[in-house]
Amino acid sequence: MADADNFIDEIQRDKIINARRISPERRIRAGLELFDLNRQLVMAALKMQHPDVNEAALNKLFLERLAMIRRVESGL
Amino acid sequence: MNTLDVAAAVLDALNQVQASYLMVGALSSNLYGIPRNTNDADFVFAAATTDVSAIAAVLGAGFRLDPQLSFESITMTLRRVITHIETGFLIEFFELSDDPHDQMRFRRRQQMPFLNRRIFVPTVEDVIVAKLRWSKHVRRSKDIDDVKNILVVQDMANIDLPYIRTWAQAHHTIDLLNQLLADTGPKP
Repeated sequence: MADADNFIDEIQRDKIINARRISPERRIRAGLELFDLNRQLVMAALKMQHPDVNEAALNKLFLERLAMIRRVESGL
Repeated sequence: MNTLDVAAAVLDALNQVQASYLMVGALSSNLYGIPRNTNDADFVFAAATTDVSAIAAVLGAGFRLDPQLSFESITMTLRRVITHIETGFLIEFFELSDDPHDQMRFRRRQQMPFLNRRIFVPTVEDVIVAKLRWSKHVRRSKDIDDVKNILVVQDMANIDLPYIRTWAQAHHTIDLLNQLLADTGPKP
C-alpha cells in the first residue's frame, strides 16, 4: 500500500512539475485537447462495440454518452 | 473541426460582436493549475453590451443556440448555451450579476494571448475565490482539487493572499482555504 501511495505521489509530483514548465496558454490548450483525445478514445471504443455502425451513428452514440456524463456531473 | 478550432471560432465571434466577457470555469483553473479535461468552455458576459444570440449568429451553421434559458446556481443569473453540433462541446455564457465578487472579478480581468488572438481571463486570486465558493455551494470535489492544483503550481509569492482571505471571509470559505493552504504545504 505504501508503494502504491508513493507511486501516486510521484505521478502527482510529475504533473505539478510539468504544469509549471508549460506556458499559461499551453495549460488552457491542454484542457481543450484532452476533450478531443477523450472523444477519440470513446469513439474508438464505440466502434469496437458497434463495428457495423457508420461514423454519423457513432457520433450520435458519443453525444448520447456525453449528455449522460453531464447529467451525472450535474446530479440530475 | 477540433476543440481548439471551436475555441478560436468563439473568440473571433466574441471579438466581432465586441463582447464584454471573461473566461471562467475549468479553463480558468487550467490556466493557473494542472490541466484537466473539460466538456465545456464557460464565459461571463456583460448583458448591457453583449448579445449571445448575435454571437451564435456569427458562429453560424455548425453551432446551435439552446432556446431554453436557465440560471446559474449561486448568483441565479441567466445562462445561455451554444453547442458545437459535431462534437457536443458546450460554450456556456453566464450573465454578469450584481454579486460583489462577480463584479470585482470582471473589473480585475486581464488580457492574454491565446490561439493568436486575445482572451480576457480572471486573475489567479479570483479563480481561487470563485472555486472555493463553488466547492462550498455545490460540494463538487473537482473544485477543491482545482484550488489545490493552483496552490501547488503557482508561486505563492505572486499571489495576493490577503485579497483571497478577504473574500473567503465574506463567502464563509475561510476555513476551507486555510485547510487547503495547510494541505498543499511545501512545494516539490
